[in-house]
Amino acid sequence: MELGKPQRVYTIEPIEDPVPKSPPEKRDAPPPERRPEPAERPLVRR
Amino acid sequence: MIVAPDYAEPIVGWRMWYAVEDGAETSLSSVIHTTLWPRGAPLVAVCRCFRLPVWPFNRGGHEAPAANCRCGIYAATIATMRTYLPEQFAWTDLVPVLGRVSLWGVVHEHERGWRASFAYPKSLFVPVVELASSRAARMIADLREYDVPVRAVGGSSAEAVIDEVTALAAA
Repeated sequence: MELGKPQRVYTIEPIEDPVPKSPPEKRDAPPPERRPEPAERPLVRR
Repeated sequence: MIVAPDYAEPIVGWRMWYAVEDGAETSLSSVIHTTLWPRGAPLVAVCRCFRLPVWPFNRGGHEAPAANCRCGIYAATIATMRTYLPEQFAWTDLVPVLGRVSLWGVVHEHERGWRASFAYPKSLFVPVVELASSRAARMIADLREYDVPVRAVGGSSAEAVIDEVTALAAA
């Protein structure tokens, strides 16, 4: 691709990362642990 | 001495890739060099000039892009793509992908585009007219792994694709 004559040079340091970051739960994350319902909790003799 | 950057927002230009079916998935490949663009990480420019090991006047490596070289990651204005794309569409049997790309790091601005040291796709448009629907669907699903918007475009010529993409990008 011909871009033509050079014009100027500058530096860019983006404040926000241009690479999108998927939320962790989107990629291959195990399902969140489910807290057992009261009926599923083992009875504990005190 | 710490030198402050000139800008804090990436340049957004246009470029073309090929969609390369690489094993079980589809990746973006540069057009001139067969560089595969990584997912979830920027592509980092590397100068590939004067890489012949027997070349007696090897200048050694330099940071890309450099002023007296053609290296760097390229992007252009949409007007430049309008003249560049028809030729590229005619030359290849590979699946072209058009899109916007973010550029940052050291950026050399030219009359019709830029050469940069870092890049990542921003949005992708896949011409699907000549693809079987199942292949097109699979490619689009694979390219969404770059975590950027991916859209099918239906134009049957390079000009029609550019028109459609320009309209979609402006919407």
